[in-house]
Amino acid sequence: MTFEEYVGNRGPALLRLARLLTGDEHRAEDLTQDVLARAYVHWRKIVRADRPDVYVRRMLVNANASWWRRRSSQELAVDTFAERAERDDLSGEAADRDEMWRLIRALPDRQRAVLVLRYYEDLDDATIAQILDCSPVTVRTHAMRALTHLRERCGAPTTNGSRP
Amino acid sequence: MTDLDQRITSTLRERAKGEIDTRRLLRAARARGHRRQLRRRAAAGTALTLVGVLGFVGVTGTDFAGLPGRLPWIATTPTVAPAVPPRADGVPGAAQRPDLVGTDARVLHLSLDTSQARYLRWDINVYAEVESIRFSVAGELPVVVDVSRSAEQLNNMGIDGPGSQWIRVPLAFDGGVQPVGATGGLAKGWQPFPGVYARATMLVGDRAALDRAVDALRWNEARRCEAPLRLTTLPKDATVVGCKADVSAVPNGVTAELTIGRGESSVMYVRLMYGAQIAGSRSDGNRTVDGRPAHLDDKRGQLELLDIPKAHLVAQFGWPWPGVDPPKGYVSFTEADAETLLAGARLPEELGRPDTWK
Repeated sequence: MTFEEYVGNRGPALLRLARLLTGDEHRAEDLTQDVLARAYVHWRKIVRADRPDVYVRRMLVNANASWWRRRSSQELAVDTFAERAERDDLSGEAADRDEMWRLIRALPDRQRAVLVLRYYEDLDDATIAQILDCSPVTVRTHAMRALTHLRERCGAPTTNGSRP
Repeated sequence: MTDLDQRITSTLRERAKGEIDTRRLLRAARARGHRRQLRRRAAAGTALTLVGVLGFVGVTGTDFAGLPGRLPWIATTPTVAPAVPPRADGVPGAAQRPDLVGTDARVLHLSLDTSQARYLRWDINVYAEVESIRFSVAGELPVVVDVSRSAEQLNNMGIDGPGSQWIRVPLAFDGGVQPVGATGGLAKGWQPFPGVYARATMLVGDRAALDRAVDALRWNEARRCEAPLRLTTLPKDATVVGCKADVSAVPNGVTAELTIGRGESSVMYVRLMYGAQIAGSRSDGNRTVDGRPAHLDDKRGQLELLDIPKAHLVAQFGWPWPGVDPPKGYVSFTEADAETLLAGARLPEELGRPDTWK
């Protein structure tokens, strides 16, 4: 598979994944381009990997976690500016999804990544663990914490059939 | 699937939607990748040149037998003394006052035994409450030591891995050593004193090299965060909250960055990049700062002084990340603030000579 074929097939999915990880259209595009640029340089090595797409998605998740750090931005106390959903002009399902999105965005990076990979990419825990470079147990722990957090804040029942 | 599962799934699907131009993505990725390749080749060329120079020194007469006690890396830099942050007289080290670690952008509360080790970079970040030193021992591969009063802060930081990848290294700070990534790197976390957490990481190396690096640390001596850049004027209510100097390329190059903070979130970065091989000068000034030519990049929120030979001095006063919305309520510094800073910026005569920075 050439680099061009890979981007043609998987580029859109990577960009959509980046949108969910970053929560920002522009940064998602920048992040995806940056990761693909790095993949371009090492493509011969990547394409020989067992699952190149897992490797590239891992690059994307890692790059998202570190973009601000490489720009010396640890100084930014962005936590003091909690974003609030603008619900006044929304109603029903749209407002519900807006609120859910706000909660998902507020999750720690790893927890959000697990939810996105599980619920949007529909990956199993073993594959998510490969992407996040951790154990499946850690994946389940992140998922459990994220789901608990969401349940507590959006009023969902505490006993249900969600995967832990 | 539960109701919560469905709500998560539908929310994510909705947020992932949007137009995607695959051809543009491919074009941009290839262009960036190509530039990255060129930079890598240029860096490799520089390294080969350096190897050539070192080889020349070795062949033409430096007799190590005649230099008892001198380390090979010292023998290769005979004309300019290695950069060492000066002693902060009267300030205790982390051993005496662990509570001061990460609290003052002007002071490193640890240092190195320079008979063993060479400083490559030092970095203090008061907002993160972390002090860092990058250094090498006897010419071995670099080690980064980060120190904080918070174990969580260090674990959240991760480390920069190969290829700009970010690697998270959760450590127990019990003195144990664990592998880092897939490159043969190592990380050690320990508590040199109660209330102080330290992390030493190297991307390639063995445990003996890591132990030698840790042995070269000194905890009873504070050092000033020396940089070839001084600010004599600060905007109203602003303070210096970060100080960083990369001296790994001295005397041919040096970079320094001071971070200025105001209130809860406003930050401004003042960066100096010196390179002995920077040629030419810019003539596209559109401002003057204290009578000196300067260029304002309004879009990026940057003001640069143009009359410094072989160097760039830039104040980044606007939101630093194009394409990313600042958080609500974020208040940027202004062009006037940047002018105030640059008007009071003082540089030494010879940027490549650390002994002139004082």
